[in-house]
Amino acid sequence: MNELEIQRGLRAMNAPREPAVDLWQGIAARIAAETEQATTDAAKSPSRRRWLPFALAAGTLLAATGASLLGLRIQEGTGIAQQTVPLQKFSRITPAQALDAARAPGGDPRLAGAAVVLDAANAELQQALEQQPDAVFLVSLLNRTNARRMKLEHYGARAG
Amino acid sequence: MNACLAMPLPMTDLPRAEAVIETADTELVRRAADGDTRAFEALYRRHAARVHGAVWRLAGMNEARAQELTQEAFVRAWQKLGSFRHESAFSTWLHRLAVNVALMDLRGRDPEENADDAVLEAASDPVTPFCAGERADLEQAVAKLPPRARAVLVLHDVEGWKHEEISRELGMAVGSSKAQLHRARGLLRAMLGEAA
Repeated sequence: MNELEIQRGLRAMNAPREPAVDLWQGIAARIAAETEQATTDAAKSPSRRRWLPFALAAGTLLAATGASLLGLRIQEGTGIAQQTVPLQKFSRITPAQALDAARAPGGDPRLAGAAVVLDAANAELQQALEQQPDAVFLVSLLNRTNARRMKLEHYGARAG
Repeated sequence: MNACLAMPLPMTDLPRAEAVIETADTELVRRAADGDTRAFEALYRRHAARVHGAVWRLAGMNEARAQELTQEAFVRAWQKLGSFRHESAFSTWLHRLAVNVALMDLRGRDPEENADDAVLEAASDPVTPFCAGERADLEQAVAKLPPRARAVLVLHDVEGWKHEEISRELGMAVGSSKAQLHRARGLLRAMLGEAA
């Protein structure tokens, strides 16, 4: 067979070919399984939505804590020591907890409120993660909370 | 020239037939995209042979592997029907998707899998062509090629792709695609008994 014949033969190979067996049953089974999986996922989504407010609350706590820390650092620079964020507004934090100096990083009472807020957020996020272990956004929030907590400890050590 | 291969192909009114098929496909695709599995089964019945033929050649004429790839291609098509915008014929879109499924399978394998001594042995022991079995000989020879060389040969010489498309889909340089084609043709010539 020469080059030309090979080329003609290859072009002639571009022809339909029926599968040796009917593949539709297998395809239909896989499609049905996927549809069922999609239905299951859709049914799960309300529980995810149930945790969304908690996640948003944790995010808000983080933002508030960040603002609090920022305010504290500014105050340190000016020598003015006052609490700019009313921590009692967070329902999960009691006044007694907020005044618990033993939880304050470095024993600095100015950091106690922020520590309580972060610990509460951490506990809430961990609880949410137990319910939704595959929720990546919760892991991300937890990491950010822990990072803030470590930074707070760092501030406490420097202040102490 | 061999009379068997020189015979002209039967002429058909392909453009008109394809237009009719495409019109019917459009309605079936619309229904299937809405979740109608019967419509999708009809699409499968209409296009399974063309899809299977393409992946069968890329899979080295391995029927079992080709069946898996065909099934996978139709499942992917079902998943992606919502993104089909009718910018091309459904048959073209499906064929391309099926080829990509086969190429993804190829990329996931050892590049030189099956490129063993059997290929060189076959090349040094040419088959004696005869008219009745000539096509089978050619298929047998193509099946014995190393997977990547076979993919480039099938896509270029059978499917009519350009080297730029092949290199993009196979993740190789254009020069590598040309080199693989050259290698594949050389091996074919050697296996089929005549160095051109």
